[in-house]
Amino acid sequence: MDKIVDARGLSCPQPVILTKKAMEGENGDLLTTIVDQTMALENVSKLASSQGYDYEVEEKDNAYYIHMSRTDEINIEKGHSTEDIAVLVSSRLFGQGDEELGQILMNSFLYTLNEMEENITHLLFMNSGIYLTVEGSPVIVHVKALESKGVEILSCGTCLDFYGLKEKLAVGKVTNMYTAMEVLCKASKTISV
Amino acid sequence: MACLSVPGKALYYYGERVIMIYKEMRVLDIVEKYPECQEVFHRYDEKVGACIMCEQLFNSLAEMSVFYGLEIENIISELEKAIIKK
Repeated sequence: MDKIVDARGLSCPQPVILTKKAMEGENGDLLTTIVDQTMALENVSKLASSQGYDYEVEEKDNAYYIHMSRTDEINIEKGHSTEDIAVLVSSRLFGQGDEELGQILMNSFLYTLNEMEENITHLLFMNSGIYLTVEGSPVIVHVKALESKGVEILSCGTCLDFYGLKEKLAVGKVTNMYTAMEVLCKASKTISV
Repeated sequence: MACLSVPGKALYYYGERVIMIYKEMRVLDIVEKYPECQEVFHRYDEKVGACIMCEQLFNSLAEMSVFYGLEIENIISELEKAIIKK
């Protein structure tokens, strides 16, 4: 039996918040949300996809019935969450292109890492990535939050020396290439940005 | 509590500024955690001529601000003020 979220008459963000709560509650694998606005339909569908649900939309009685079921795929992903993940950050910006956008994306990336329930064990900062672990870093709060969760924060000593920032290190420890390679090789998965 | 103080628009705990809203937070995460912030977004709806909580719900505050050309620091300050006021 599906869990029912009747969000008719409610505008965004209510249908999305109610659906999210239902997903997080007991028996949240199968649920139907009823909405009567197209924007609510669009946003609840987006939520379903982002949370690993398959969904079908049924239109009846001037309302949309969004039938959602959690896919096996997400369960497989959950099974993988115990694997060790090491993250290599080799630039102070995320990707190439506009500087401001690169900063925004790096902020988002580190914030999202904090929100994820994956087993992140190490964050390695190399080259200009070390600017993110020193005094004045725009993302220091996220890096410190990760450290407080038990993630080991390692910054490349050669890079800190090169940029003259060794005395400014504000979070984590100094490391060398040997340790960095050891961490990357031992991890079940690595993410490189 | 003596250690909690609210000078101006910010919240302080033992003299340390408490950050409640990060620019990387999604609009959805903000209104889910702090429902009182919906009022602030509604105020901005009028400025931008769109429903922010409809169209930008899954975007971060930073992305939303860039999209509408809004000053992010002002929004954060108003959101935090709404939370403190509650």
